[in-house]
Amino acid sequence: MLVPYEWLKEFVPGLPPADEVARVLTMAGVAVEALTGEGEDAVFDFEITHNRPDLLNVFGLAREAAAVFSLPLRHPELAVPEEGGAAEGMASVEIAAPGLCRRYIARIVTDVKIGPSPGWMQARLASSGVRPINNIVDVTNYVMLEVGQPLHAFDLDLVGGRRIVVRRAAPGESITTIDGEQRRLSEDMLVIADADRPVAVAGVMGGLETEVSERTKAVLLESANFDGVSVWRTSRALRMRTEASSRFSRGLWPENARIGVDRAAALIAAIGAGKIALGMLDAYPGREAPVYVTLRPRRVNHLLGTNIPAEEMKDILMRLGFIIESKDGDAYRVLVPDHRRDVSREEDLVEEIARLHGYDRIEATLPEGAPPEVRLDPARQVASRAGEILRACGLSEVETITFTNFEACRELRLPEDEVERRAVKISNPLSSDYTMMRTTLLTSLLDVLKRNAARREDDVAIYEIARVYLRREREDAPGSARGDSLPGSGSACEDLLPCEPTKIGLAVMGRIAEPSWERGAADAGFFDLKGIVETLLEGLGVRGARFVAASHPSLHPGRTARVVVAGDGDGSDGDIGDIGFLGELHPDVREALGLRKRACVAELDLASILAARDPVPRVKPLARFPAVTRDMAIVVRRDVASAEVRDEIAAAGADLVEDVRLFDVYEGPQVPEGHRSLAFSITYRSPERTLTDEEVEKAHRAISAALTEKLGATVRE
Amino acid sequence: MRDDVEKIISQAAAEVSAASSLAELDEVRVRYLGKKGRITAALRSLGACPPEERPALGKLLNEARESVEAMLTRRRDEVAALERAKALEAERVDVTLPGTRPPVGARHPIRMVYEELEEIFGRMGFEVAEGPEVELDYYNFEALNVPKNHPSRDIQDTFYISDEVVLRTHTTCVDVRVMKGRKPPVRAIIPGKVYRSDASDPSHLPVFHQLDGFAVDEGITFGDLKGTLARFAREFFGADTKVRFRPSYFPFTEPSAEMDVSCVICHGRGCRVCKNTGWLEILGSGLFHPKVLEAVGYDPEKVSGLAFGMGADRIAMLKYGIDDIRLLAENDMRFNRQFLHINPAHIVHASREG
Ligand SMILES: [Zn+2]
Repeated sequence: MLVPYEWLKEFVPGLPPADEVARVLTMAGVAVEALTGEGEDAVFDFEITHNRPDLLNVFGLAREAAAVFSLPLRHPELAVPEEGGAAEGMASVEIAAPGLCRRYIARIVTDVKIGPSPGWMQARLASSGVRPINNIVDVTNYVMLEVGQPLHAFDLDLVGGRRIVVRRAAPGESITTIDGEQRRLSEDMLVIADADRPVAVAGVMGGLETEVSERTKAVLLESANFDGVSVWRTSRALRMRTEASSRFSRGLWPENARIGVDRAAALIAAIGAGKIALGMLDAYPGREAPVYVTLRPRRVNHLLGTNIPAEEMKDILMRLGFIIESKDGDAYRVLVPDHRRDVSREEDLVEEIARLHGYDRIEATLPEGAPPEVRLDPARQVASRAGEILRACGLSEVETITFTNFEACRELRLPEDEVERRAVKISNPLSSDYTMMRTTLLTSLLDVLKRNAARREDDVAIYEIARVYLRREREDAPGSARGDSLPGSGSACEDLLPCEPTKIGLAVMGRIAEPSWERGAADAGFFDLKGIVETLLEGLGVRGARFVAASHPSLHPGRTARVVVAGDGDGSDGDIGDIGFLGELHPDVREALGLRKRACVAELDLASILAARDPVPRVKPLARFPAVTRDMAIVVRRDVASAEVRDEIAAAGADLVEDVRLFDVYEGPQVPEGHRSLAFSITYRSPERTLTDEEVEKAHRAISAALTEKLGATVRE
Repeated sequence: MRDDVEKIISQAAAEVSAASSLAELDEVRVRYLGKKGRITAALRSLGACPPEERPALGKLLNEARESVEAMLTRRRDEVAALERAKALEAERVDVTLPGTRPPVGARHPIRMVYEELEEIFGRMGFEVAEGPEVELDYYNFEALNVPKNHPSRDIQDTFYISDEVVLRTHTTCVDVRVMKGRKPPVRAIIPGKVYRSDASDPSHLPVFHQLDGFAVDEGITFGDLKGTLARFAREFFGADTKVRFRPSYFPFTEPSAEMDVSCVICHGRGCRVCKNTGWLEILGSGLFHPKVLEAVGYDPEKVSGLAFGMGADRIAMLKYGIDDIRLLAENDMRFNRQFLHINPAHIVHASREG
């Protein structure tokens, strides 16, 4: 809000220079965002906090400055030279909705001479950012800027029946406002009506038909107090934010209506714009009881950590217009001034005392006593460790926007009905790109690949550990493993909230390592990403993860795996759980995204990893006896999974097989059609003795026989 | 014969020293000491000598053989060293060629900021808590003294899911959730994403990051708020960082304060970033409003709490000199990869010197 320095000084003549005023007021909580101009021509740009509507005017700021600087305050001229007939006989005012209008004052101006307002008034309006229009309208704007009371001037001769009724709009009513727009009104909106029709939207904007014009001879000057919440709702519903509506929304006090109307009348008379009729029409159903607050100086010091004397506290409050009425023991009874409707509790007085005493004079301390015990969240620790491992694998961390849209899901070929069912939709989205919360990290990570590919960056290896948002289905109870345990939950409303499981998402396109002049560099493929997933799971203490061929709408049908993991092995249901998937991007998806290189992605569920991991693995004793390593090459049908062969070797070799390592896979001329050759290196060892050649040979032969029998393998000699 | 032997030795010596490779040396050895070598032959022909000369001649020849062998051995060592030197020379590399680096991924600056904040507040006994991003209107507003259908909601533009459910506009709602489930004393910080329906521009994103924190206990004072946050500022921005507190307004704190730190760019001298004020607005804070304490079942007469909230994006931008918040969400790899080489310690150090 722009305020000229000289206007402020009119009310507080002793003010220090403008830059000093700006600094001191800012430190007292009345922020000066900018100071332009020099000396007496300086203009402040104030940023008034939401709780202080009383500061949205020059006089209010002057009153505050006088309190802060302990200077005398002058009041605006309110003496009204009344003449001619009584206002009572010239119009009538009725409040038909007293809950929404606490007070309505009308003064009548006769012998109106419309013309330009005087230069000094136009200059102050201009430097406050308001365009001068004519003397009557300028006075209403001037008074709003000066004392914060919105006013409206009606052409009295155009007000039907010379009658003002403050009521709710009737069904189907509408009004054309001063800006020329036709507004449809609803029954919860408060209007100012004449005998027949609405002539203003209360507290928001006046009507075009009763507007003051060149021909106006008599004016009804409105100064009222409307309910802030009602004005706020109406201005939102009509999408009209005006100076008046924002002041009413933030809260005005009924006493100010009187100040506003008298100040305007005094000015109209002073600039010769008209004659002020005797008295006023004042409907005041909403007179408020005085507000008292208890002040206990001990408590103030206890909360602030200070030793401010009670006398200083009283002095500060009195400077701010509070009245110390009485004392009961250590407690004072403090009367809150009308304009400080934000003060209703002792804590509010604590802030008043603290800010005028000076926040900078309060000593900085640390809370007493030992800090409380800290609860560590294992999920956060695992997530942090996961990040370390993935970065060590060459993946960079990303932070993506959590929104997505149906089109992006379609691009990934995600099933529409499922997206529709599970996605959390935003009822007031900002743009068509951001209409819902993501249900998978894939949409976000692939968007990163897409943007980078669009900049011809084809080598991207990234990860993100973040949430996805899934509308709760009946089987997902609040706080279930798929969601998260909400602190403080317990109300039935928690069911309205979606699950927000944390996922570890990986995406690799093109090379992971920098190309080397010595060795070149290859693009990463399925097995590179699988290796990273394996490293990650092992690093997090998840043993025995298995990869099972699977399908996913976004992924290559022959290059997709589910990651499953054995649970605690107690044989209960869900002992083997899904912890995620990985795979190569389906070429259709890749093309839709404009990716030139192949990409592989994975998504793993953090809670499942947490459940599957062995948090404190024990160290195994080191082997004391030598190992014997023998190779075995077999030919099997192509559809026999290598993991199946591996498991069979481990099972057939009984306790003697320590390790099975696949070192070669071959398909080609030397192998029958539909078959492949797999070569394993098998390590035999006993923890109790040195194995003899015969023992090893026997085990090796047993394995060979088992593979032949169970998997139809041919063992190559 | 004696003269012959000396001649052989001197010839052998000449040949040995002329040999410049192990192969040539071998040839020399064969020529003198091989089965048909000259010394071997001479030894074999001893039988043709007069018997009285044999012992002396035999001794002479044996000495000759030893001496040639010694020469050969010495020369072999020399030649081997030369050959090794040659081989090493052939393997010389250009040490200025780039090293082969294992791939290493970069951290995201937001995460770096969070990690540092968690460490700093962790040292002061604050634990890390989290809560839902899709949040009940109650926790986001009502429990924080912002009633429904109230003009004070204008302060923040909110994304709604339904009448009862919003995308949280601050992480402060988690303060309420944590306090509701616990008895004082509690100290916690809450990192996380927050949402406001602001269009994207260089300083706004609809999704951004906050860190809220609070400490509730008997006897927590405004002075404790100042001390706790000043310590954070010094540890995060550098030991010479100054702070100031200005009165402000938040519905959920009373008294409320905004904290400024001395500009990390110009150190208070005035620059574009601090709009020539020398100060940067960093966070909002205050003592919990009694209505908030009442909402979680605490007695405001007994317990008080300090609370604060800051934007992690803004802090990352100030710390790493990022002039457009959108860079933090775009994940342009040219940007993200720079953080391989940037770590928090660098920045504080650099700012102290600057
Ligand atoms: Zn600066």
